[in-house]
Amino acid sequence: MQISRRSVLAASAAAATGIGAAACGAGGEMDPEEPVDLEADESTLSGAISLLTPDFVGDARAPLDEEIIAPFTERTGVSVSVDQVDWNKLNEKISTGIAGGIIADLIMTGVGWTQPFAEKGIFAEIPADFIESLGFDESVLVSTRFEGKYYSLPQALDLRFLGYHPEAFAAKGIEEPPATMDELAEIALELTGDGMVGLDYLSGSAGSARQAFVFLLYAFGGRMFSEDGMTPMLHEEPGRLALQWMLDRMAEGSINYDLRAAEGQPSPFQQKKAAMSLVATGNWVTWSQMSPELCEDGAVGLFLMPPGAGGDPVMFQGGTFISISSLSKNKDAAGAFMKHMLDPEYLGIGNSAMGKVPPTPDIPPDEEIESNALTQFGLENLPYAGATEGGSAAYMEVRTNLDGIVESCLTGKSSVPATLEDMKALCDGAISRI
Amino acid sequence: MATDTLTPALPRTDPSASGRTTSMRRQKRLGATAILVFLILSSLLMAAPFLWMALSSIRDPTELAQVPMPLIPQDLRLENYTDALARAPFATYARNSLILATAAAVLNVAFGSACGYALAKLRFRLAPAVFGWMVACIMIPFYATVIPVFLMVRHMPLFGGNSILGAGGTGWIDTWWALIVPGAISPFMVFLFRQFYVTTPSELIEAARLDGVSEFGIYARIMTPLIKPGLLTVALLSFEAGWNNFLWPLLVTTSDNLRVIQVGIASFRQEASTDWHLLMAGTTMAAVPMIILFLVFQRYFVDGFAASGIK
Repeated sequence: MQISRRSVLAASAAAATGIGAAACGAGGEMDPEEPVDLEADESTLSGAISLLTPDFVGDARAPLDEEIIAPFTERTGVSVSVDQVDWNKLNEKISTGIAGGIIADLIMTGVGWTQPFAEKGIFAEIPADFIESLGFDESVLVSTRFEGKYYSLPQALDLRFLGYHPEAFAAKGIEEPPATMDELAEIALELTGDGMVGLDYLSGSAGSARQAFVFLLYAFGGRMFSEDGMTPMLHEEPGRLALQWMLDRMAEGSINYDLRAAEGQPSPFQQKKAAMSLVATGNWVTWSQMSPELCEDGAVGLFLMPPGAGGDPVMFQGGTFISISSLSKNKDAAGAFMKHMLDPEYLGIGNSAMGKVPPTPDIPPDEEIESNALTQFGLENLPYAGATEGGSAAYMEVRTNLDGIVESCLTGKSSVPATLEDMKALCDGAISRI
Repeated sequence: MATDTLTPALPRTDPSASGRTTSMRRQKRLGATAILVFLILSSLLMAAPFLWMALSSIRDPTELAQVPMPLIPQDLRLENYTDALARAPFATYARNSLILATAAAVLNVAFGSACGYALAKLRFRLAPAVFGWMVACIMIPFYATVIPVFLMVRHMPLFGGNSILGAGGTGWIDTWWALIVPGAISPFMVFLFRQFYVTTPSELIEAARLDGVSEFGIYARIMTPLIKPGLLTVALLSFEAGWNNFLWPLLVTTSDNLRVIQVGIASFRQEASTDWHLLMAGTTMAAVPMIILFLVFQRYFVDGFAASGIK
């Protein structure tokens, strides 16, 4: 039989296709259905696990390696490797890992990420009795659930509220922070003038336009999705009120959309070009480096977002949540390390190093945390941290596109009803693809 | 009489002609000055971000916060560089970037020139189709190919504990193979080389064949030396792409000892804050090798782009 060049090529292609198909179809050794045993005896643990985290960057990395991982490895014999990834590329890292069936044993993500990855079966269920034993406030557990089961736990929070310059309040004879959204609007207008804007809400120093909208949505008594995450609710009346509130303030001049600081420059609030501002607990690090006078006792007043429809004030909750990969080959060790990281002592060390807020005030005394006025305010008001992004398995698709829709409304390119319609269409489309 | 007609002194003695010449000279001088001023301003405008980066790299963080920020740093803070180096294992990251960039440059020159030469000078029936396919590949965005390439790397048979079917292990993930091999050839570089080879005389190939030079010898010793600007252009572009590569190394590596300098720079940005003084110091350190390379090879680089018609 004569072998032609064409037949060799055809045979090679067929062999490559076969090998590829077989490789893709071949199962690994991990069992996604295997439950996590958080009661496993630590003496039985062995091997190695990996942690994928967007946190513990720069100076915070040494405390993670030396003060959190080292004692765990010494105690259990399990080694922990850290894969540190930028927040902006975390989704790509997880997505390629999922596609390749090769992902870290422990994955740290943000608020709103739990439901999408739990729905895809990437996160393993965490036993409810363990979570209840931690004594965390319900407000920090809301975004850890999917279909009534727990899939993540808060490790470090980034909380947002409002800050003001007390001298600006004193100059106008304002003695108390506002208690309602109407009062907030009035005070913002009163403080506007003489080169100062009443409220810096959109400069991006404490989040995106999307997050600014979500914060107000909750203040007006709304929420993003229904309980099961399958119906969007952000386009309903509270959503309309939230958008309209921002537009009205912009029309009055008490919120200035154009008031932005250049990259690397202090925010309008730091420059005292704004009397009040949206403030994130993470701003403390920037303040202490760039505007240390703001970190002095009493230099900045803080208050929660007042309610727009009665009820309680609200605080916006961002942060980093830890989950166990359902594809982990060493789930018990991963579970043991998650427990270790959630130990109050290690929560304190980690959050102190990162300048973030631990998910519980019950941690050992820590000078760094105690001297951070923003963290202290956040911890004192944890039960109000109910404004959270997400709540639907479709949220990863909604998340980025929502920014543009809100911006369109704020820049006058789209009316409020059209914006709400766009939001609904975006969510419906994403949910239909689940 | 004859002397009158031959004398060239007439224009010199004509005051109006002399004035016209002076005026033309002045206009030329003015024009040249205007062009020079325009070029200087344009150069400053282009260089401004780099100058700002270099100046910010030696500023104190509190000075960065001043509004308006002084143009010249008031307090030279060179320890920003030592702080940046201490913050992350920059020596390891720089070494990795250098290896990755050098490998990308060498491999792209080797494979790209061979492919480009074949497409430009060797006659085979599928040449136009292959060239069209190469050009089409240039239009595919990197993001569209990330997952397929990741899967190929992860399922590489007999590597990283994988079986012959590419399952059971991690393949090339977290190895130098994953960093280097997918970037070893780029359709754009093949296109660039093809454009260079097209401009070379085919008669040389025929003459070399008559002289008994092998086909590889014609490619390596006769034709390729004719496109030196092209070789340097591709080498520089590939080196630059390898040096600045961020996403791919981040996706296929998990350990610090394989991370590259761009990943190290990202460590100065946190979720809610950025250490601008350290970020600028790190960015300056990362930009210096590329600036030096460009300064040394800029003539070839510009010639290369001009010759390939992609200027």
